[in-house]
Amino acid sequence: MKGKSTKVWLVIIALLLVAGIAGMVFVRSAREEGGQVLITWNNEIQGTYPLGEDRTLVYESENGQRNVVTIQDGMVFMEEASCPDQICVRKGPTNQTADPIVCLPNSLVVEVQAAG
Amino acid sequence: MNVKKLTYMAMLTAISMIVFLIEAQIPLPFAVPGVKLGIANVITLYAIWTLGWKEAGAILIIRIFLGNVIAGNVMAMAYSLAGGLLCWVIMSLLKPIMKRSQIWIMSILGAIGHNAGQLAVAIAISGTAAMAWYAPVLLVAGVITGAFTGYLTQILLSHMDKLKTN
Repeated sequence: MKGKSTKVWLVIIALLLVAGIAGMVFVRSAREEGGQVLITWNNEIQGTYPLGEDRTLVYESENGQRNVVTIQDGMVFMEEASCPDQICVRKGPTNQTADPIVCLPNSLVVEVQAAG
Repeated sequence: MNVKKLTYMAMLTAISMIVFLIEAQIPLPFAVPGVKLGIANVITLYAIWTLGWKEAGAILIIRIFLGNVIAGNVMAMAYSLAGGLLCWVIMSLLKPIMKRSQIWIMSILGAIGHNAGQLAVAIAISGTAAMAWYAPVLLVAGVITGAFTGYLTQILLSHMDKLKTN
C-alpha cells in the first residue's frame, strides 16, 4: 500500500469542506448595511464616498484599463469594466460590508464600510 | 531529452493552451473573483503522472506565459503564476504517496493551493485585505473544481491505457 489510505484523505477533505462552508456562513453573518464606500486601486486608496450621495467614479489607466463605479440609491455597483471576465460587473449592486466588489485583472476593490 | 519526448511535451503544452484559452471564454454562472474550473490543470496532472514534476512544470510555465499573452491578459499572469506554481508544487509533493485512483485527492489539494496562491497575490497587488472575505468560498470552490479536474485526469489516463495496448 502506497501512502495514506483514501479514507484518511477523505476525512481531511471533508474537514476542509466543512471549514470552508463554516467560513461562508461566518462571512454571511458578518455582513451588515454600511454607510460609505472605500475604493482601492493599484495599491492606493482612491477615496471614501458616502453611499447616500449618487455619483459616478471613473478609473482609467494609460494601458487602457477602465472601471466605472456608480453609487446610486444607496447601493454601489461596477457599471463598466475593461476586464475580460466581467465578474465585478456581474456581481451587481451591494450596500453590505464584508461583500467587496473585486475587479482582479484591474486590481480595483470597492468595499462598503460602516459609516465613518 | 529525445525527440519523441520533446514532441510529446510540445503537444501537451499546445493542448493545455487551447483548453486554457477556450475556458477563458466561458463565463461561469456565479460571479466569484478567481474561481474557474481550471480544466488546463488536467494536463498538468497528466504530465506529473506520466512524465514527472519537472516536465509538468515546464509545460505549466509555458502555458501560463503564452496563454495569457495570446489572451491579451498580461495582468492576469501574476495570478496565474502564483496559483499555478503553488498547485504544481503541492501536487508534485503528493505524487509519490498517491495511488492512481487517488489523483482526484491530489487535484483537490492542488486546487486549494491554487486558490490560496491567487488570493495572496490579489491581496498583495490590490493593497487591501478585502479579498480575504472570499477565502471560504475559494476553499469550497477548490474542493469542487479540484475533484472535477482530478476525476477527468483519471478518465483520461484510463483511456490512454487502451490506446497503448497496440
